[in-house]
Amino acid sequence: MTEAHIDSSILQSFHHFLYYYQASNLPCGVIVARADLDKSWISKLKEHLEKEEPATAVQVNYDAKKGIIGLLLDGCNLGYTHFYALYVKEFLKEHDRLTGTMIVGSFPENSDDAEQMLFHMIKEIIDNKRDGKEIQVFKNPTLKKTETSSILIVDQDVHILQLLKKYLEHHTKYTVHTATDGKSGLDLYKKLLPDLVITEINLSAVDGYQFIKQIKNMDEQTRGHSEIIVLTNKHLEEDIKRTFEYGVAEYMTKPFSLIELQARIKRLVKVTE
Amino acid sequence: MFINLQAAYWMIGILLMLMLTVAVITLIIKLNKKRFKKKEEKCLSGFRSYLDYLQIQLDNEARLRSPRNPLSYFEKEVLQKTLLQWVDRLDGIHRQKLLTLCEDIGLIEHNRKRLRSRWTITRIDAAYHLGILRDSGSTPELFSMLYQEKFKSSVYIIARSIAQTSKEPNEIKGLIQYLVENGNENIHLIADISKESSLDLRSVYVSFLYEEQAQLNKVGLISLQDQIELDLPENIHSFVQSDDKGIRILAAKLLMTSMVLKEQDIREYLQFPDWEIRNLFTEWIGNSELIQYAELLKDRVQDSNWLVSRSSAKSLVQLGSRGFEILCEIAVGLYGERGRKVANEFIEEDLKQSIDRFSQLNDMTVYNNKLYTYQKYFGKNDDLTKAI
Amino acid sequence: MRELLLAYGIFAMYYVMTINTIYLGIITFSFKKIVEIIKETFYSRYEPLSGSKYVPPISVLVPAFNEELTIKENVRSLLALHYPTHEVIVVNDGSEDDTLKVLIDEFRLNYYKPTFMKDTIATAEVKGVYYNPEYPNLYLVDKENGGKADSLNAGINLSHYSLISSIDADSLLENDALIRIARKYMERPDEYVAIGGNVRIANGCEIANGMVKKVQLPKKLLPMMQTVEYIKAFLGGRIGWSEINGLIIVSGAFGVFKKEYVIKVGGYRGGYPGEDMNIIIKLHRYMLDNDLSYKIDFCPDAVCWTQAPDTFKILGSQRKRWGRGNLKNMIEEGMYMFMRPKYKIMGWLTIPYNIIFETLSPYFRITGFLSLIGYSLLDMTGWKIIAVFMLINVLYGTLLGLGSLLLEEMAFQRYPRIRDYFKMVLYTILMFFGYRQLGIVWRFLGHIDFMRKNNTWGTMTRTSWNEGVEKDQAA
Repeated sequence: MTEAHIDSSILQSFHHFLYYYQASNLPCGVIVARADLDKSWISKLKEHLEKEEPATAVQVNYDAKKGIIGLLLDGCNLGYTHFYALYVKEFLKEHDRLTGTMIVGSFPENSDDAEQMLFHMIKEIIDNKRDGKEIQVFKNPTLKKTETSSILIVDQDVHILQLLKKYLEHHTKYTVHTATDGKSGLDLYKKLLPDLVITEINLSAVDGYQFIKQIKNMDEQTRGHSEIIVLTNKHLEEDIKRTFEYGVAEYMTKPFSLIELQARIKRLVKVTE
Repeated sequence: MFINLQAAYWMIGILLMLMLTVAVITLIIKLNKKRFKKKEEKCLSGFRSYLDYLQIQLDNEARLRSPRNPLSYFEKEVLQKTLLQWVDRLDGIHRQKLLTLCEDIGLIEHNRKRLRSRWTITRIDAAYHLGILRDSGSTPELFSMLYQEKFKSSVYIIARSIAQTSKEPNEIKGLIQYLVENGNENIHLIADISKESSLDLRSVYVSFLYEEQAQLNKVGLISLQDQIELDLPENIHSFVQSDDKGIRILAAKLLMTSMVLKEQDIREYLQFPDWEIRNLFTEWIGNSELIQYAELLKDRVQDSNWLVSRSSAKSLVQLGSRGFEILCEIAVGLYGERGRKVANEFIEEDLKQSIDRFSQLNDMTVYNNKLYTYQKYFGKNDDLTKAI
Repeated sequence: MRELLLAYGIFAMYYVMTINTIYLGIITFSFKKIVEIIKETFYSRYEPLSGSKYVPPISVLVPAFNEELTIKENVRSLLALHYPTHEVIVVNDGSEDDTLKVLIDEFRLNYYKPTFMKDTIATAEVKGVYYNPEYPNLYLVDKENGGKADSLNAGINLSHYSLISSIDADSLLENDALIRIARKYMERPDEYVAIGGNVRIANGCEIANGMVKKVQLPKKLLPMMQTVEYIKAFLGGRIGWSEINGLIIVSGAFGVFKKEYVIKVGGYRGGYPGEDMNIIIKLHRYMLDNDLSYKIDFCPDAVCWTQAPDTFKILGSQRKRWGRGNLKNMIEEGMYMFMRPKYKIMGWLTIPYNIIFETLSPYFRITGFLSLIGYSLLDMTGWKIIAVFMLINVLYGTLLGLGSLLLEEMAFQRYPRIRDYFKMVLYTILMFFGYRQLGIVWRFLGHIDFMRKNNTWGTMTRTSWNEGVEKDQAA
């Protein structure tokens, strides 16, 4: 699909505003959602939003032909726009008006071209055939790497998996895969050959050391290479020593800082690239 | 006779009643748990978008926003369950942000109220969560709860929460003293609990070394091992001569990790009467690859204790070519019969290991060196050399 | 004659009623303790503890005799226990199958002469020790056949740490089982000499890679009976006994011991089954003889899954062994502690209870039953009395079973479905019609075996864990 094919009333009505924000380098938030609305619903939504968050100036435009609603928030960063979207979602869902996904984005955090961002957001909504009614954060497709690299996280603790997956997928270019025990971790590794592995030592079925060892063996055979970060509950010096002997790149203990982990990932990737 | 049918019927009646009661209670608990779970799932799915928002905007938002509607008791419980799991696993700024959010939501108030509940399970639950919330405001109340509780397992749950919430090293000191006085050699558990604290407790631990009570000395000795600062209190050396074996071992361990020992000290510790201490030092020399002390391990391979003898040989293997040569010397009997078998065993094992790693160039030189040394002592016609 | 038969029959009935009443007392102690257990189960933060350097290291001893089908996965999952420092010592007790070879191949173990094993406790001849530095926590001891106790002793001789844990080769430990026991131990390390784990029946559960993936009740009759039987014995019984420090057994399937005292009492006693009860009685006796303060405890949240016998033949041989071992223990140790004030709860309650109501129960019950039959043949009019008494005993027993299920529900709830509850209740009642009586007969036969001095490990054929899963999935 090329640019010429998408012709939405939202694009037209927001054109001037976006141009203004862009030119004066002021932040603005954009929310786009698939919804089934009419005039009265739109004014009800506006009313609702003004009541809930009166301090926020919002522009609403509904593209009846495509069934897409767009909201433009004045001076809002991404964090707040995301939060604001929760109101919108709740209103639409409550009245059974939400028919598809929602996407939130913010200039200049998500893109340095506000209009292009809106365009991509609408395009994504149109292309997106899934009917999941969740809120997604806009990812600039022009920045996406062509070759997707991946991370494998192995930990029995599902909270860790969930936290890391969400965080890393948002903050890095990686696709994140997860496994809850050593055995399925190895199976996934074979299938994906990820660039980076983050693993606990206390694993079930196959323990952490054997997991690492077997990865290293596989790497030797396939002449591949993945960096391994150990993220573990184990605070013993013997474990630190032994994992490094096994060729692990980093050793971190829980509780851990996401920022530190991200920095280490960055460093490792740079080294390998 | 000894049969009273009337009484027997009564008994049947009572038993049936009891059975029914027990069964009904069980079923009520079961149904309640089931209903709770369903309600929880529903509630959680309502929060899903909000939780997504939190996870993704953890970085972007200066202060995470609380959900817009005031939360019910139940909703607080459900949200707390997820949020505190995250708090528990994260460190640094993100944990701080989440903790602020928890306070904004009213979780601290919520748990403080529950701390005064009539039910002991609810009180423990609240104490546990206040610990994770790092709520220093409830430390005094936790303390009074601790003192009221019978000295059982749950005491340690409260103690952990106090260690997490307290902002005052003296409070932790009091806590440890209370646990030591009422407990039984529970020093390692105490050390683990006091590690939860984010405070600098070095001075507390040092002060324990000047206490009368052996148990407090031990807590001090254990905990100081984890301190980064190296200068140790003066009296540490006296502990090595203590009558209490546990204290001797802990003191030696602390000295070992502090890296203040000179060669003469190490020589002494390697000949210490307690085999545990000898073993500690032989292992340490190998693990830290302190090549300069290789010669000292010679006698230890011949130690009367089998564990010390083996760990000395194992350490020598880790000490490069000189270590290997010493093993060979022992194995050919240069220093008598003692330790020959052990030395031989470790030499063979090490050579076998080295062959396996032959492929890498670096290891090849290492192996050749070892083989050369080996042949120097054992000649060329040995089975091992043939096998290659 | 008639009167006499009736009188004896009624006496036997009162006897059973007394057993139940004592049990009711014990179960009350269990209820008293359960709140504390719930607290420590849910609020003790086991994950961070499983990586803490303050937790004492443990040597896990795994005696193995003809276990080629299950041993591989089991050792793997034991190596993967979530614990700061532990070693796994498998002792091959002269297996006639490929147990040894399976392990050597799987872990690429090398042979060593057993030069470095101490002979703290005498054992059958050790042929060698196998080791691979790639698995620094795994040892395999190969020795001549000498029985389970002998194998445990050999394991003790090799073990490096001051705590040992005995584990059946056919059992699966949950990841956190060791750390849960260790935490309890750390509360009073100078007093605990033994802590037992909870044994649950794995038949019917979905098992993969040496882990229980999904808990389900067994589909077959006998394992189902044993499931409710175990819940009653472990939750209703052992929690209560441990509360008054009168625990007489720590299951051989999974327990942790202080090595120092195991060696002091001479290690495990070989030659007879029931070595798990024997060691506990000996520990009680040693500690009380020497006036040492001590505690032997039970940790119901540390779970070990075991495969229960599912045929009458194998179950019978297991129960006969238990009967034989129990008798031996009572004659060898129990008699000396019976009603001696020095032995406190053990002397006044545990041992008398075991001798009078466990060891001797087949005699009272069988003769009582026979006399009642005799009486009924002579005089049909007394049937009503007999029926009433039998009903009381069934109801009493069922009540205790229901109480144990309530304990399970309060603290653990491994079987959450409502259907499961009714199924378990049904089997709790069914147990009194045939299964119980069979157990009594097996115990009696065990005593006869004892008189004949017949000593073997007993038949215990097992299927591979993986096979079990495949079968279940096919079904």
